[in-house]
Amino acid sequence: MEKFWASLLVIPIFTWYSFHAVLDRDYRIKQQAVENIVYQYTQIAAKKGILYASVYNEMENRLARFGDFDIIVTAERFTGSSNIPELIEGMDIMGRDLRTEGFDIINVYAESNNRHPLGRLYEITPFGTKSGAEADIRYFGKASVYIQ
Amino acid sequence: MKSFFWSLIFIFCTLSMFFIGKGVDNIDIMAERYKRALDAGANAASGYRAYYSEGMLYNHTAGFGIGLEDSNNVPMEREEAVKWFYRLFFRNLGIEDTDMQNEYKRYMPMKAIILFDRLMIADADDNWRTYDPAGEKEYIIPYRGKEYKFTLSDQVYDIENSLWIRADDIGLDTKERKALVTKYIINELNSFLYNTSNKESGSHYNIVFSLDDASDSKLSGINGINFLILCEGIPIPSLNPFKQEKFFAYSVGGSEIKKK
Repeated sequence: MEKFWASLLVIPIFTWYSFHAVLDRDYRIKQQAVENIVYQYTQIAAKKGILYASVYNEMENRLARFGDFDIIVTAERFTGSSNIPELIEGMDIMGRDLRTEGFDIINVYAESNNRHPLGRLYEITPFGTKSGAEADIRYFGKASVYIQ
Repeated sequence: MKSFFWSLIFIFCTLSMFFIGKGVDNIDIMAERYKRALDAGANAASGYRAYYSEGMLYNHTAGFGIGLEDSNNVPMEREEAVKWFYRLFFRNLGIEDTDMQNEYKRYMPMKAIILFDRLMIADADDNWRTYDPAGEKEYIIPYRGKEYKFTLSDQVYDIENSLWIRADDIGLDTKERKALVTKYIINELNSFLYNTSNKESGSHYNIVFSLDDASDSKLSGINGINFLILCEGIPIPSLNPFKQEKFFAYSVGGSEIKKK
């Protein structure tokens, strides 16, 4: 009987911990991949001075391996000595010659529409009750690169 | 009772491993984020348009060439470079709050600009005069009992005779000259970093460049004018219940400044 109570204590904690180890590893690897993809394609756009539709689509396709993403693209232009830049955003940016137009920075932000199961795991205790924690964990990537 | 006791031990060990591992895991992600942010920042600092505008050019003596006449020399507006660095660095980390930005700045103990004929280093407060009261130091290096003012090219200033000469004239070939100047720069950077008052952590950093990058493929040598930065990052507290530790996800970023 004593062993029964002991296992009742150990098994849920061990199960929760095992799930956590797997999901946490999964999240970290994929999160780093998402960040790298976003940074890599932002760099390409900044080096070209133009965000080509083909580059954007390729980034979108690579991100699609990790789910459905909302992607926000903005470009900033600093004029004079002001620290507040002029900002353009949305699909207008696609194909525009940002360098010639004097834009300095291109920003890309991608965020998954789906929550990662790691967040759901944090919301329950090893014994199945609600933990009270609200963990909205999603893949995201943010990159800003200077347009040379 | 024995099984119950062992199950408690198991739970304690599992939780300890969980919390210890958590702190170390965070280091990986943060170090990579800092690296990307530093690279983007250094890239902006070395490439912003002001380098190419006539308005900011000032007479920057460079041996045989004056100002931009020498292809190795690039004028530098250091405050502007640092401003651009921060713009990109904080955008990449998504930090907009000024207080938070200032907190991060405390953990960037060194911003260095390796210029054609001088070195500039700023501390965490962006103060260039901590390194030297003049705000910069020329590459004055003794060689065979005499002091010379070196540059990143083969132009050398003979201080005693107030004369610009070539490194060959004092018996220095390219490899030796580069090694001499690189060693000087490495020592200056490291002695600045060795001074604990310049950084928040007690960590010891050792910046290394290749003295001969033709034969050393792992390291890059100093082949031009560079903007260089070291970031320790906000310390990540260890969740280890047995030890009060802090981890620094440090990273180095740099970019070469080139004329258009």
